[in-house]
Amino acid sequence: MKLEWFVAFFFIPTASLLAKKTTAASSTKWWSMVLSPSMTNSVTDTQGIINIIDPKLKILNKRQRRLVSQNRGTLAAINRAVKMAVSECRYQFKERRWNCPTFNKDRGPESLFGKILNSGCRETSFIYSITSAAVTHSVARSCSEGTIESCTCDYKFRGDSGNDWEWGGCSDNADFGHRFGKKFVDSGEKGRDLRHAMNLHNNEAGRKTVSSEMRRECKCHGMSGSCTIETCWMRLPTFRTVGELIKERFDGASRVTMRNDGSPSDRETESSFVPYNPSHKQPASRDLVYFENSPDFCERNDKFGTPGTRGRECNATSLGVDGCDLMCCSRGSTTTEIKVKERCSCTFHWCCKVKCEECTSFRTVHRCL
Amino acid sequence: MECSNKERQNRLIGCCKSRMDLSYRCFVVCILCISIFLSGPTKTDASATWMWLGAASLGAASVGRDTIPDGSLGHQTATQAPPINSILVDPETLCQRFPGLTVEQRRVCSSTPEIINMISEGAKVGIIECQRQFSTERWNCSVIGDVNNPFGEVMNTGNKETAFIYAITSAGVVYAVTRSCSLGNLTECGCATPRGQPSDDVVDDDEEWKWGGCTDDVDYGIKLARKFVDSGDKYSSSSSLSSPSPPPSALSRPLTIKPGVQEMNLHNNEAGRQLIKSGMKTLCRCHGVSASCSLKTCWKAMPSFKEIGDLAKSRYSEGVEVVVRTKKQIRLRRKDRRVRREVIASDELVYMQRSPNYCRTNREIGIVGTTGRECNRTSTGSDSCDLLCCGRGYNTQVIRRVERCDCKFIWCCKVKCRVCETVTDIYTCK
Repeated sequence: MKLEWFVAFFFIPTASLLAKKTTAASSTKWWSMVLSPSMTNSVTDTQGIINIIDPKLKILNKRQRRLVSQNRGTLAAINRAVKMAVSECRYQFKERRWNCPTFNKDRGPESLFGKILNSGCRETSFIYSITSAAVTHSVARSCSEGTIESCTCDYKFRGDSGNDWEWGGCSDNADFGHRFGKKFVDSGEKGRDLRHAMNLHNNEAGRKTVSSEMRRECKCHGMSGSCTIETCWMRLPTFRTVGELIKERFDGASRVTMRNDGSPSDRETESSFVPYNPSHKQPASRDLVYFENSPDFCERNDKFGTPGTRGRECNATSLGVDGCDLMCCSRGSTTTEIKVKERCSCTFHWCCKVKCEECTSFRTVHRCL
Repeated sequence: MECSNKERQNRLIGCCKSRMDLSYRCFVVCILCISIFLSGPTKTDASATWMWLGAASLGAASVGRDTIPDGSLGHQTATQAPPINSILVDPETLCQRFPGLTVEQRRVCSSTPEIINMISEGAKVGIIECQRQFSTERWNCSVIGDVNNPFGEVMNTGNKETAFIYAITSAGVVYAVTRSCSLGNLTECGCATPRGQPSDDVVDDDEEWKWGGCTDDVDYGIKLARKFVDSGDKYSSSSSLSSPSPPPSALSRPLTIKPGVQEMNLHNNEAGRQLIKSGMKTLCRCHGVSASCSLKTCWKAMPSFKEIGDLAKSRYSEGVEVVVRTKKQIRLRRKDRRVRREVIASDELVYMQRSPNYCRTNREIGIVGTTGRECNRTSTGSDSCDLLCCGRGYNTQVIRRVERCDCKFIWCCKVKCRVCETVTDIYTCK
């Protein structure tokens, strides 16, 4: 596995051939971008993007490099996107047995989320979807912030306004985000097998979740509080909302298998797979798909590269997955009291200080055995 | 124009009124499962405590359970014993048809053979109510064993669910026996004559009233249920009766009962009976010139079994964890040290073991698991996909339902309907 990755590292054009075997190798390398502390905003840099990101450039494939250099400023957006995706994934799964662990080994496509990417389970589909959604979200927002050279605010919302409001302001450019995200994220997925169909579908599901959740936001004008006229623009949903929606799809994800009726698989219409159980619903475009059952994540699992739930904090009273019973897989838990020092009864003193006292409280913590 | 969730879930014969026009009705095709599911030869290695529950399989109606759409269990063989006409059958033959009865139970059966159908009815009422109460929870009171042991290992574990089954089936017997007394179906009992005054909220001080009608003879029901149901526990150690067709494993096996289990079961049986007694209501009817109410006739009636189920469910959620004290004699005591001295009330349900989570199938301890159970995507309660599926996620199925709707009565005498097709998604746990 290591060697194959090594080969892919140097011979990027051939990576797609190896991808069939090495699974997630080539398509997800760009995620390693999260490891760099901050990317220079390349718009302001005169030397050109290639020089700045040179050491990190190896993590991008040829098409991705071309895209990044054609759209200056996107690299910073992608960097932010990966960070957003990781923190959102951690947040959404903090109460699950698999809590989106990430690894800081600075090598290989497996460095970020670990071996779970080589499987095709529900968790894998979530990771793909959330990272893809994050790129779309981050790029679309960067357009309206003006940090990407090749795009601006979305001005297509013109004309048809309401009675007491009109289009104006700067709409987030979800179209550009979607287009760029598709080119950038999907560029590594060149195979024709189920894994690639799955990754492409989940990437697209993530992007669609972002662009279909655009909301109109308005601002009043006129005399104070009168709101005689409103200016409205389209704004992206918060990334928390996106995370929640994708998490919902994760719970209802469909297990799929290759279509075996001989019909040619068509990547554009995403009809290359069918539900594993024929009586189940055909996954819609925003549904997540997977082809392999997840392990129970109870114990350390080397195949999936998951650490298990030993030592995890659990909730003694909850009936859900965060409850000690389910989280610890009936192994039981230990209870300890820890001292928590907090600042409390803070008061504001004119001007300008906040004075607090220090309070000590005890908190009961349950941890899985 | 849709059935309420509850109706759909229970697959009871449903017919919901349209909110638009009461004359239109949709007749929903629903299924009343009348079957006990047999899961092949499961082992019945336990005392004869609940053997009488096998009676539930006999009689006109039977215990129902929803079919599982995508269950690993698959469709199981449905069997149903033919109804018994107790009058035409010789008592001895009749009683022999019940496997696993204790000496005392057999004695009751042969002395009053009519009673056995009532007990069978009671067990059924209890089990159906249990399934209704738990339809949205991970443990859904599923009948997984054979006729001798409908609930499988749950009956031997001594947890809250065991407690509930004991209480609700014991209450069911009281209910069924008492009701057939009032209906005049049993020769040994009839209506009771209540004593004392009805409560103030049904009869004012200045009103004239008298006891009349038919008061449910709940005392008789309780006495009989106590004699029959409790004997399973009381006499279980001496129950090795040689009957012509003994259930082989149950009676030949030496009984190993943990200390305190019998006491717990007896307590919960009694708690179930007390639920009915404490729920008795006084009802009155007016007589005299129209609406004058110059004389009231009052009687005491049992609550509906649904109310008893609700009450039992709240007792279940407030269940008391107990430990066994074996100084001179075996006694149960509250586990919570702070309230240890408080006497356990007769209507509290007691349990000795914490319940498992009922998430995954485990045949050994009789857990069906929640795979294939229908869940509610939008709810936040116990039937939500999140809680019911234990984090495993859910599958989506599209159900196309063709039913007659917008039915109209045309004079005279035709009913014309349209055919409606509804497509709904149902969600089942992975």
